[in-house]
Amino acid sequence: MLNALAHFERAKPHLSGDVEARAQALQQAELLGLPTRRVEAWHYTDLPRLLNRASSPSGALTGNDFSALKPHYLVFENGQLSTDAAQLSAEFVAPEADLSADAMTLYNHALAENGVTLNFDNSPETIVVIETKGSETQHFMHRVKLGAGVKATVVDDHAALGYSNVIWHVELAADAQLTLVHIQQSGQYVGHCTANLAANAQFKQMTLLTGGDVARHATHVKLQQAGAKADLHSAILGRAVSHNDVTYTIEHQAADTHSHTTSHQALADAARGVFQGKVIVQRDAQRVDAQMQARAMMLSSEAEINAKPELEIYADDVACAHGTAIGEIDADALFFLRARGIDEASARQLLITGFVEQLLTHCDDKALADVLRRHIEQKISALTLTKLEADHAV
Amino acid sequence: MSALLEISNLQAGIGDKAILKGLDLTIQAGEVHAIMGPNGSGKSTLSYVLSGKDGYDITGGSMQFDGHDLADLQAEERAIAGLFLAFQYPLEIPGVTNMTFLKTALNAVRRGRGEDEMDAASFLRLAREKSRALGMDDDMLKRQLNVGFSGGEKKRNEILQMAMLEPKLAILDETDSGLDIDALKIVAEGVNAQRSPERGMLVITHYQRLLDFIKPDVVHVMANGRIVRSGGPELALELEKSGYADYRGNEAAHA
Amino acid sequence: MSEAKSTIDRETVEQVAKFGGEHYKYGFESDIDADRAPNGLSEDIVRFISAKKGEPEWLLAWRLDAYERWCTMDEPKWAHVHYPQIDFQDLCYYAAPKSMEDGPKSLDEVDPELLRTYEKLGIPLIEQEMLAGVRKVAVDAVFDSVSVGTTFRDELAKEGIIFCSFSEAVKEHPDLVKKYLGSVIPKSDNYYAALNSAVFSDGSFVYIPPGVRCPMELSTYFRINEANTGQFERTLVIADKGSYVSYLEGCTAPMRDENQLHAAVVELVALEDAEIKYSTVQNWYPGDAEGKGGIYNFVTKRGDCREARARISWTQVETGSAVTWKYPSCILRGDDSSGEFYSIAISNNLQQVDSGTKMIHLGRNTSSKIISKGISAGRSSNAYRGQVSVHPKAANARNFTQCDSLLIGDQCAAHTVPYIEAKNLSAVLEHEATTSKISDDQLFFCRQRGLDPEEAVALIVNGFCRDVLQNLPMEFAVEAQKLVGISLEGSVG
Repeated sequence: MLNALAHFERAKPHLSGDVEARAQALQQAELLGLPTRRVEAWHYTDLPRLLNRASSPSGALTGNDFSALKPHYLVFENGQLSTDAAQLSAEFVAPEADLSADAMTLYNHALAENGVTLNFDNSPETIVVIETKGSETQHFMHRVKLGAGVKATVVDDHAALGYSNVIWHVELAADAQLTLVHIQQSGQYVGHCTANLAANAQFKQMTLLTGGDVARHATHVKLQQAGAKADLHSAILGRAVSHNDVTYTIEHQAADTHSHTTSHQALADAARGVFQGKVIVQRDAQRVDAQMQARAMMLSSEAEINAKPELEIYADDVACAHGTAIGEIDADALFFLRARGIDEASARQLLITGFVEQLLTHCDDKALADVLRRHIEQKISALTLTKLEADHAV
Repeated sequence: MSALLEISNLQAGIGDKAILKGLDLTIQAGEVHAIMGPNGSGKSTLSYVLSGKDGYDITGGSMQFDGHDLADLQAEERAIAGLFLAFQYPLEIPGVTNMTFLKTALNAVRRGRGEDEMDAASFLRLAREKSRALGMDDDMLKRQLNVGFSGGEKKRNEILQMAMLEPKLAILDETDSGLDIDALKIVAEGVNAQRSPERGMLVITHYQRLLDFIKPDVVHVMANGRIVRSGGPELALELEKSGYADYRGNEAAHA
Repeated sequence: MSEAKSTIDRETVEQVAKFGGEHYKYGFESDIDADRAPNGLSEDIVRFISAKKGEPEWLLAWRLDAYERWCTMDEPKWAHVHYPQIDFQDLCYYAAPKSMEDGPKSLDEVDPELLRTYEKLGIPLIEQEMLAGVRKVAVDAVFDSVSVGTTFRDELAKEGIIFCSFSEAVKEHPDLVKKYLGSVIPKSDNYYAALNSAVFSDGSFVYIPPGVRCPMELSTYFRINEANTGQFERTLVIADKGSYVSYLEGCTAPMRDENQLHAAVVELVALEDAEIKYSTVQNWYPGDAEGKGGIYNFVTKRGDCREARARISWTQVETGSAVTWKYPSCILRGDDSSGEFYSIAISNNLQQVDSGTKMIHLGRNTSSKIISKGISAGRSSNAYRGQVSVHPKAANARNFTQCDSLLIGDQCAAHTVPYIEAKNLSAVLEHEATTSKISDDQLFFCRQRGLDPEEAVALIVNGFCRDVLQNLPMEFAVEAQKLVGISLEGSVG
């Protein structure tokens, strides 16, 4: 990644689309440079520093078995599709370079060499699992477009080891329902998802971060017509020196739109968590209901959490609330469990599991919830819960 | 035969503040004891000190429980040894289902007692049987621990845990608080069903009301960190009439 | 006491009734001859101000250093406010009533026109016991660039309390000034603090000796009178070990079509076991209904709980100014120290507010509490911006933040921008924010009980602000409640 020009030269022969425009996008990206803390949207994620430091080991990878969901499988390895996308007519469409975009988008427009294009107009409910593997730098542009009333579930199962720049474009027509799941357990993933929702469309996103060295998952939802609803939920199990950033921008552009955002971050070792959530309610968007809750559980004296839950409200008849709570494992809950005979380490593990699995309360698909639960429990049992010495003063 | 619980001259507090000031109490297996007393007399502290909550300093005296010196045991080791505290304010733990919690606790206790862990099917059968006996909906087992439970449901859930863990001594800390009369009856029936010659109970309460439903063998009055008077069930009735006024401040006259 | 109090309450009610229909009652201008510096800012102007005040060399050097740094700085752009570029060369940086030219005089020699001005503002500079003997308040009155008088000085001096104008403090207590000036807000802290450090003209100075509980409220009353003048006052409050002081600050300005700049700096230092309560009712001229005129209020306020168990509490009622940019903050350096911030910010018409606080937890067992109530009406914009930061060594830090916005009408805006940062395991931080409006049902209910719409709004808004109003000293609370009603006039149809 750090040598984008060389990467571009190497990739150039395989690049599709307007290669000249993509070269210009790269030039513009190099001019802007990777975002640092000076860019407000990256206030707590200094990307150049994170990509240049010694990375944290991902730990053993957990295989996720989705077979109970009977999904279509698409597997990318080092940027190349190793399964056949034709069955879904999901062939990659090269991005059109937008020179006014931010640096990360420009890099993607220049370098994206693959991705899926899911266009479901009137298909029956479809479940697609996109697995990403390999250890090289990868750039993806994924598009998901659902026609009126169509339902789909897309799982982004990320177990690649290198750096990935991933863009998701989601377009939901009236009454469409998309569930988009991200599981990142390794590598450096810088993702940006934009979702545009028409009337009564529902976008549910569940993001589970369990071990990537750098995880930046930014989502920008535009609720463009009445009845549209965004459900954005994330859970983080931060370990080693991983940096985990979930950033949400939710724009209520129309009246009677709803959003519900939750984040549960359990931070062990020297892990860092970032929660940024911005709810914007435009002038005419009356009767909006927007709720946002971010919680962090600090498990180590070296862990760090930064939260910035913002409201930007231009309409008066709205019910918007956000809450943030940061703290250690609750001592009373711990005692309660121990008083029932559970030893301290198991009690902690149970409480951490319960905390992270709050994510699953938003998952309606039982088979999917089971996959996520197994993943969480494997990762938690691998977590070496060192003696957590709280620095309590007497 | 030695007593199930023998507390002698127990002194404990938080930091510099002494709360228990030389408390003596002996409970034999099969007995139900009630401790009554005004607010601030140290009743809840006693339940926490017995069950091993962090933050209390034991400055003197001893607590012998079924051959163990309680001071040597961690909270969970006391639970394994058979000491159960039904909390005055049961904790809500979002994300952990009642079922997961019960199973984890039961197997931890069984392991600690040298018994085999229970397999999922037998556990489920047992949990259903015990919860139905308490008139609980199966659904309550699937819900997150105490989250969104009513006051009565939370207390019933405590009694369910007691039924599952089969303790030798159950301490019921203000189990009647926040319950209406119907909920109180159901909870009391659940408790009474678990009275047995092997099991002791210590019922901590502010009001006589609960003792109409759980009949104690011995009633103690606690004031200013000590047991100041002991007697039969009639003592509770007497307190009901006269109140605690005599026990505030100057307990020496009754000691 | 209770009888006296009920008399006061009745008088207050009558007074409030008299305000009906008035929009900005402090908008008059006083005809007082002034001594002004030429417009513009340069090293020479800094020297001019310093010379006018007869300052020692070290202070001039300090100012010049601040000026040099200011020249290299950029105006901050991150706040949620918009205003035309300020031409810093078209401002006057020093104006003083001519009668004050020969330096401070005793109160009975002060120009009667000045005294009348303060009387009109409701601030008696004649030493009389305010509010029918219920409570004494000592006042330092700052008129444009200079302090015109300080009351109750002798009585305070008996306790060893120093309460005087900043200029006097420089002359009489140079060691204290030298030790604490800029020790909380370094001169290059931010653009406006640097500007203030270069050109500050006067302000108030308070020192409470160890173990002394200040027997009365101390207060500063700021008044901008001269046209086209910036006001740059500087307040320094030092509470020595085990002392206590409650300090009040009020501000008004005439109605003018031009915008005027106010860039003050307030530094508070609380040593071991000391407590400072600092309350502000900011009622600068907000501009007219079309957004013409009004004060640009760019203020830096910060308190340093420098030693163990120090306590600092900020309470502010912000109703005036065209643009407000203000973040009274606490540095919780001493172990077991605590900081509080209670704020009501009301914006109407085209006012813009970007205000909030920073709680920086450095010591062990430090705690902070933030209660912010923002009310936006008209076409105004009202932002809460806050930071709670727990540093790695700040074990057992606690913060609770409640941040509520109330919108009146569908043309205004409310923003909440909190930064919450924890680098210590044992930190417990809770933040809650809500946005709501005055419901038609509430309005209807009040009106059905006989209140007119504006009374109903004032009542509901006062209820919304209750948690904060409760923290104000009594006479300020009364003024604040009136202001809430007056500021929101015309906000409902």
